[in-house]
Order: sequence, then C-alpha cells, then structure tokens
Amino acid sequence: MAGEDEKEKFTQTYAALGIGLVCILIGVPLWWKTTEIYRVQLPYADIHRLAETKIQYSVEIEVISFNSKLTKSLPDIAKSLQTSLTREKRSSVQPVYQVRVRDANNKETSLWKKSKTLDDLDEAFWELTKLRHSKYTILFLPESSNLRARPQYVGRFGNVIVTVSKEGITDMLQQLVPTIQEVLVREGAVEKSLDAAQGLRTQKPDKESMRWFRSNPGYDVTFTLVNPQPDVLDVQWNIQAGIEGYLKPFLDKLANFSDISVASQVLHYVGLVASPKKDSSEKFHFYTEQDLPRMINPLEAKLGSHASNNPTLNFVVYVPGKASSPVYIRDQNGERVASNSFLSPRWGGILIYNAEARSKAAGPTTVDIDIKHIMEVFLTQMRLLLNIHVQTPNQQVSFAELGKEAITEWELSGWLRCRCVENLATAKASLQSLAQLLDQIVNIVINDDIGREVEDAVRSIEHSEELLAGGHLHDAFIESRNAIVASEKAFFDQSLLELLYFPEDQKFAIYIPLFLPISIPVLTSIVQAVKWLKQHRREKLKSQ
Amino acid sequence: MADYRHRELLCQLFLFLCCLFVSFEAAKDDEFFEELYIKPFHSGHVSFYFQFTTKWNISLQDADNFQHYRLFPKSLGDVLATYNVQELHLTQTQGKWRHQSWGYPVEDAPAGAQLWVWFKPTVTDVDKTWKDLVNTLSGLFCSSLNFLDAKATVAPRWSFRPRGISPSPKNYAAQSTYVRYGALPREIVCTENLTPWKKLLPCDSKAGLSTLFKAEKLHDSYYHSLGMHFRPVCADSSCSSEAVELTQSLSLVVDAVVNNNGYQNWAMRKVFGQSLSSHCPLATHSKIFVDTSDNQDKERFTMSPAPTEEQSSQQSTGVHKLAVYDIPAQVKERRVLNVGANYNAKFEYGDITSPPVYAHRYITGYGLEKGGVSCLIYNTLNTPMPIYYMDTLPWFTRAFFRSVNIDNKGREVPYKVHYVPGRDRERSYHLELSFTLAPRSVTKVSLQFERAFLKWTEYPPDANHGFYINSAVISLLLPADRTFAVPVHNTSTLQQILSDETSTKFIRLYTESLLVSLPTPDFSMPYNVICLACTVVAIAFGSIHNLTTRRFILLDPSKKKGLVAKIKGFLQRSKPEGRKEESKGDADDKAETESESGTGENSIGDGDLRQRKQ
Repeated sequence: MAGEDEKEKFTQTYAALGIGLVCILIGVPLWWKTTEIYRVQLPYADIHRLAETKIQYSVEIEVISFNSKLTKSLPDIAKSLQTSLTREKRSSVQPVYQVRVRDANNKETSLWKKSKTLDDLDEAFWELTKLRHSKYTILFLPESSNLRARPQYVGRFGNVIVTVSKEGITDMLQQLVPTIQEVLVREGAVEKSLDAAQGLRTQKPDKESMRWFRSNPGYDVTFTLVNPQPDVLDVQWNIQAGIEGYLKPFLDKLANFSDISVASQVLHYVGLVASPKKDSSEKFHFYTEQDLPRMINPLEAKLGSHASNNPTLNFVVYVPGKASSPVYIRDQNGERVASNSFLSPRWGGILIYNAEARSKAAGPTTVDIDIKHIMEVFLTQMRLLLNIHVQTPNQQVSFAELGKEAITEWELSGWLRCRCVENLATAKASLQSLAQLLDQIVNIVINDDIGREVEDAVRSIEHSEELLAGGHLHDAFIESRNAIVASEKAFFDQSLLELLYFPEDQKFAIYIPLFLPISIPVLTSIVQAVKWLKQHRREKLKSQ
Repeated sequence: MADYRHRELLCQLFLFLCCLFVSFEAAKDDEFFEELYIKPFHSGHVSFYFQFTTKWNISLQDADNFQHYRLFPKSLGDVLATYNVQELHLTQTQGKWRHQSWGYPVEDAPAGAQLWVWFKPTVTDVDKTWKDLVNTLSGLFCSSLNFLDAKATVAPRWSFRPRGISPSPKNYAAQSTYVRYGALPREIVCTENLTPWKKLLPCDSKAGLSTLFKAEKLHDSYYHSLGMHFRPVCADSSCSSEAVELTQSLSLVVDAVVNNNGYQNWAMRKVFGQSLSSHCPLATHSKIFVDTSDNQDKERFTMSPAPTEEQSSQQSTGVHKLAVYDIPAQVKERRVLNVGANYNAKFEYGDITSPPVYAHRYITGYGLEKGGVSCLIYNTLNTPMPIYYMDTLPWFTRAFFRSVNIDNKGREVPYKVHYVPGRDRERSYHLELSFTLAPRSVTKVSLQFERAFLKWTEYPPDANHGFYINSAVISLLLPADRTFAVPVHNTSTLQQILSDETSTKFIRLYTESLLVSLPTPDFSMPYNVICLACTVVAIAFGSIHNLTTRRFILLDPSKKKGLVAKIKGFLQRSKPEGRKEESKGDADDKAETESESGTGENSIGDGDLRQRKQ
C-alpha cells in the first residue's frame, strides 16, 4: 500500500514539474517573442565615443619671405610663429597649425617684381598655388619694395601681405598671430559655432552667435516690398534685375555648399506694429531702437512658406504711408541711422524706404525703388546673418575690396570651417539625444530605416572629421552636411512616435487576469514537488 | 531620363512661344478683379456671390516663373510650384445648395470640403505628390484636408476634366493618371478657414468688397461656400501666350423674407452688418452686379441707390437684365455704398420653376447589415440629356457592382461604366456612369452595399453619429439659359461670365451627402473580452492542472480529530496555498487533509457524526 502510494506521489511530482517546465520553456519565450518591440541595434558605443572626441582641423601656413635680410632668422621665425599659434584649448575643437617659412624662389620673386599693386600680387599667388581652403600664404615684403602693406594687407584670395624690416620682425609676428587666428582661421567663431550647436538646449548663446542662422543645408531668401497705402503710392521695384545683378554672383559662390532659393513678393495694406513718433520739428517721424523688436509681428503672418522646411531669410522694404513719411531710425544717441535699416537676428532685415508722395496728385503716385541701394544694405545684412562677415580684432589689418561676389575666398573658407564644425556638433548632439531618448523610453520601435540613417550619420561624421583633420575643408563640409541631414532624418522619423503612448499600467491590466491565476498554482506545485523530492531523498538516505 | 528630355523639349517649345509673342506683350503682368453678383430667388432667398480673380501672365510650365510675386499670393504660389500643380480646385462649404428652388450657382460645391487637382505631366509619382500636397494645403487653409489619403481619394475618369488649357501631350486631359479627387463631407467650415482664405487676397480685408466679410454674419446664413480655383488660361483672346488664373469665390445665401417681416427686402448693411466704403485700389475693376431679370418694369422692387448702368441682353429664354454698380465711382468723396432692394409687396410663396436637371439622393434599406444608395435624377427638358454620374463610396460600405441599376419608368437604361472596386482599408469604391436622361422623366440610379465591420481603432470619436458618404457628382452640358451663369473655358471675371453667350454650358451638380450608421460596438468591449477570455483560460487551466498534479483520497470520517488538527484545519482554510506543505509536515496525518474540499467535507462529516452520537 505504501509502495503504491509512493509511486503515485512520484507521478504527481513529475507531472507538476513537467507542467512547470512546459510553461517556462515554451510559454515564457512565446510571450516574450510575441510582445517584443522591434528595435534595431544602434551603434550606441560609436555615438558616445564621437560625442567625446575632439574635433581637430589643420591649417597650413606658408610664409614666403622676399626680404633677403631675414634669410638667416627664418628658422627662428618659424619656431616662434608655431609656438604662439599653438595653444591647448579647453574646448572640444582644436586647430593644428603647420608653419613653414622659406625664402621666395625665382619664379615668385619675378611675380612680385611684376605686380603693380598688392591686389595683383595677391591674385598672382592665387594663380600660382590655387590654394586649398585650409592653406594660407603670408608674404614678407622688404621695406625697399615699392609695394607697401601698412601694416598688414589681406588680399581677396587670402594671401596676407606684410612689409617687414629686420628690426620690426618680432612686433610684426605678434600682430600677425591674431590676424591668422581670428581673421583667416576664425578660431573664436568656430568655437562659438560649436558651443551654440552643443549647448542648444542648455546654454544661452551670446549675442553674435544668436544673430547667425543655424547651419542648414538650404535657405529661402524672400524679398518683400511692403506698401501700406497702395491707394496713395504705387510702388514699383525691379527686384528681378536686382537679384540678377547683385545677389546672383554671391549665391553662385555659395551654390556648392548651400541650396539657397530666392523669391520676392509685394504686400499691400500691411503696417508695422507701432506708428512712428513725431519729431519735435514736425518734419519727420522716427522709430527708436526700443520700438524695433516688436515691429515685425504683423508682417510675420504673411511671410511664412508652407512648401519648404528651410529657414527663411526675410528682407523687407517698407515704404511708409503719406501720413507718416519720412520715417527714420534713431540709435541710442538720437542720431539717424545712415542706412535707415535694421537687422533682426535669425530672421532677416528691414529697410525703411522713404518715398516722396505728391500731395495734390489725383490717383496714386508712382515710386520706383532704387534697387542698388536696397541690395547693398541687404547683402551686408545677409553676410552678417549667414556668419560670413568677419569681425576684425584690431585696426592693424586692411582688407581688399569685396568685389561683386560680396564674398572673398578666405571668407568662404572661414565660413566653411565654422559651418562644418557646427554641422558636426549638431549631428553629434542629435544622435546623442536620440540615443538617450531610445534608452529612456523602451517602448519605441526602431525600424531599419532609422538604423540605416544613424549608421550613415555616424559614418559621415567620422569621415568628415578625418577630412577636416587632413585639411580637406571642402569635402569635410559636404560630408558634415550629409551627416546633419541623416541625423535629423533619424531623429525626426515619424515611426518613433508609434508606440510611445502605451503605458505600463494598461499592459499589466491585460496581463494580470491571465498570468496570475495560471502562474500561482504552477509555481506552488513546483515548489511542493521540489520539496517533496528533497524530503524523499533525505528519507532514503536515512533509511539506508 | 525620357522624362527629363521631355521636359526640356517642353521648355524649349515654350521659350520659342515666348520669343514669338514677347513683342506683342504689352498688357500688364498681373491683374486683379473684385466682383459681387447678387441674385434674388423665387424662394425668398437672396444669393450673394463674391468673386476675386487674379490673372498673372506667366507660363505655368516653367516653375522658375513662380518667383517674383506681386498680386498673386506667394504662400499659395510656392505650394503650386513645389508640387507641380496644373490645376487646383478647393471648396469649403457649409450647407446644401438647393438646385430645385435656387437654380444653379456659379460654382457648385458639395457640403464639407472638396479638393480636385490636376498635376503636371512631369509628375512621376502622383499619389505621393497628392499626399504631400494635401498635407501642405491643410496647413495653409486650416482644414482637415490631410485626411484625404488613399482611402478617400479617387482618380475620376470622366467627371473632372481640366478647366483650363491643357499641356502637351495631347491626350493629357483624357487620362485620369494626373487627376485626383477627394471630398470630406464631414468637414465643418468656420472662421479659421475664412481667415487664411482672405489672406490670399491682395487687399486682404482692408479695402474693397472683402471688407464686408465679417465672420459672424457670414456664418449666420443658409448656405455659404468658400472656393479657390487655380487654372492655366489664355492670356488673351488669340491664346498666343499662357497665363494663370486664381479665382477665389465666396457664395452666400440668406433668407431675406424671414428677416424682413415677409418682404424680400435686402441690403448690404443688413446682410453684412456694414456698407461698402472703399474699393481695392489694386483691382482693375470693382463691380457689383444685381440680377434684375425678374423685375423687367421695376414693378416688383426698386434698387437703391440707382445703379451706375443697366445692361440687358436678349437670350432665347427671355431678356437677361443686370444692374451694375461701379464701386470706385460710387464710393468716391467718402460716400458709402449700401446696395439694396425694396419690394413693393409682401413675398408670396408659390410654385418655383425647376431647373432643367436636378437630383435627389438618399440611403435605402434597413438594419445594420445591408443598405443601398439611390439617386433620382430629374430631367424637365423636352430633350434627352446625356450625363455623367459619379459616386464614390467608402471602403466600409462594400458596394456590389451587379446591383448597379439605372431605371427610367420601369425600363432599364443602357449605360457605359467605369468602376474601380474598393479594397478594405486601402481604396474606396469608385463608380462612374455615362447614360442619357429621357426627356421629361425621372431616372433612378441605385446600388446596394454591405456594411463592413471596422476595427475598434478605426471608429472616429462619436462613432454613433454615423459615417458620411460623399456627394454624387452629375456632370452635363446644358443649353444656355438666362437663369444661370457659369464660367466657361475663356471667361475669368464675373463680368465675362454674366455676358458670355456660349450656347451650351458645362454644369457640375453635387447631390446630398449621406450619413450611414455602421455596426458600432461598445468600446469597453475589448478589455471585457480580454478579461473574460483570460478567466476562462485560467479556470480551464486550473482544473486541468489540479487533475494532473493532485491526488484525491477518501477520508475516513470516523477518525477523531484532536484540538491540534482542528486549529490546523482552520489555518488551512484561510491559507489555501499552504495546505500541501502543512499536510506534508505531518506525514502520519496525510489521509486527513489533501484538498480544501476534502477538509470541508471532513468537518461536516465530523459534525454529522457528533449529531448522530447525540
């Protein structure tokens, strides 16, 4: 009887264990598989590593001396220039300078001899070397030369021409260092771009970097003519000719790097928000600096584009109505602003164009806008808004005329350098945010597209950093642009939103009615079965 | 590649054309017209139809032309150029135009929102472009056009042909590849749609006729409809160069009789809350037209102020008379213009002459399984009338093609058909029929459908309200008649439309949109089902598990229980999981307690025993 009992007890125990095993071996994996969220493995390690690496860019400086008296001290000059240019930065972007100093060879000397002006010399050297974007040449001219750069001259093609005597060489070098760092290489601007891109959500950007448009693969430029009183003034402008004549050379220069589209429109019956104050002499009206920030609000409603995602640079010509004309802008000191225009950071510029309306005429007076004047103002503003214009650190440097392109070669390389670093930092920041987000919210689906974009972005960032360190600025910029496009695409992919709103408590509300009644008997019977087996073994041992 | 070459060829062609005609081009680059057409109806209602026309002398085929805007709105132009739109027609309507009593409107529109677009032949992926376009437009016009996805969009074959000039290739207009039509009958039109629509006007609502648009007055009407029609047209009568035309229309119908003690008097100040005090200085002409055909000898009403001029034209069906107000002349020297009519006698309701063709559509059937749609089309003319009939049913009303029936006085009417069956959750049912209405008769088009079950996430909020079905569209060519004026291919402004003397005119009628109810579940059901199913599974599993892992033995009721066993029994009842453990704890007592029920029986048995003993 006892033996039969024992046998039955065994069967019972094995049955409990068997059911438990089936539940654990088949049930749990099945449940896991069917409720699993599809998440592609992203290169998290690479993203974190990239975020911590320093961005390096290399700059080659070649000093060519035409001054035979300096020949002996050339190695010293090289050494001193190299040491004063190189300094360790706290920031995560680091320039690497390579300085070479040498005497001019015969060909170069003859070029110098042939040149009549500094600009000729600049251009001749450009023709000779066809500089890469990250290589700059500094020409030391002897005092005896009939060409004189007082004290430093930066040519259109980025050759710095300096007149040096043997005695003044140390002073000269001291003055040359900030010119190289801040004008040609733009170390400060590069750092600011980086900070602005990194501290997008945390830091308050400074005044200068707040003015610049953030780096973007494309921009829309819109010229708007605002005529608040079309019944009094019939304002005409030949904006097509203006764009063709003044803006196109500038845009052509940037065409390889940025996709800029231009459009224009005329708005009627749109006013600025506040009416201008009247001058005590009653002859004119004016806006003070305090009035300006709020002025664009009523315009905003009519300026946006629904067809493009690019940031818009708005340039507005405002022709005041008869009642308040003429209108001027006054600065802090109560002086009239010469251009009668102002700039709104990361938005665009407004120019107030005073037209004379014949008071007694029947019907509207026709006004033709001087397109040259407004394009000059807007080009200057555009250079500031796009971060092309260089702030000069000291008065020692004189610059060549801008020419009709409104952008010089060295300005373009400085711009590319800033933008490239900014793109890299932005792309890294997006990837890091994405990684963080996906880490925090485990319910998000990560599909193959996102995985591919992230990998593309990581690869582009790595490649761009290599190119930048190697001094290939042009290619580095293009690659950084690819990186930013890919990273933004991954970050803003709409599929990331799909499972976001599936809260845990609801999940458990569905699981509990099934899992609780099943798991409790299974678990308890397993526990008992194991206990019984142990006891049985102990008894066996005892009996033996 | 071929496409690119094709485009290049086109460009060259147009360049050639431009070179040819550039010397003749002395007209303005762009022109703007503002017009209002007022028409009193025999039903006591008065219709106000505003039309703002912008004509821009550029070729549509070159996207670079859409760069420098003056009168044409840039926000819209950008969208049209980006998505390669050839023609675009958008209407947003509240209410139903009653053809039977009001005749035909200048632009008919179905209730809710409607959009139909022709894309340029250069577009390769029309469906994707349409998707992007509707998303952009829904932002631009603050309406839910983004719901016009593949499920709500069809490519009409006959009913929606281009209204403007068509580009090459020659058979472009005959293909339905480049056209998309979608309607949202549920869409409600309100101020947020009026504001962006007004913003497209060059004078906004600061001057001219658009100053009359005060939302609270407009929306307090019988019917109002906002329209926007973009099409390429000929720049001049010889059609030597291209232009684009943007027509913005606002149609309003008010009940004058109810508001005026039984007189059909109306005045702008009464209807819009204000008079007109300015004209848009950018407009080439600003005019108001009042239809006075019913007032031949001024015996019914008098206009105030007196119109600038009166026009009358002799047509086959009678004399067509118009009172015309030239706004700049009427509002100069700070005068205000308040056009109105004073009737001599109280309004008498009576029979109204029906228009030549009109329709009435309704749902048939009962219950929630099957249903049908029927449309009665009336032809009051003495001539047979060939028409196109288009009906689109959503995928969840699964239409049966075999049930399509066209019946006229018990006789079946032969028809030509274009039918695209729907697909669940992908495509709607699209039926286009071409047949002839017999003279002076009623033709009935009917079809049957089956109502589908939706997934629980597919129901809209307030699912018990029902689901809307788009209006049917009836297109036909009618012999011209003084009772209606509609735009034709070469008329842009109202002035041209009203004086147009084309002998046959194309009319598109929209019938009622329908409301069907689908089987609607109780929405807490899924969770209930989950809980119920889980409980059943748990019970089944629990008993099987018990059967396979428990041992059941007979208890001996005669065995006496000590105090210790009683306490144990009590504890076991309150802690059922622990029972096995405890029972194993004393191996001698195994027989006593194996399962809860056993214990219970035991105690009862005990009691019985004791009772018996007593």
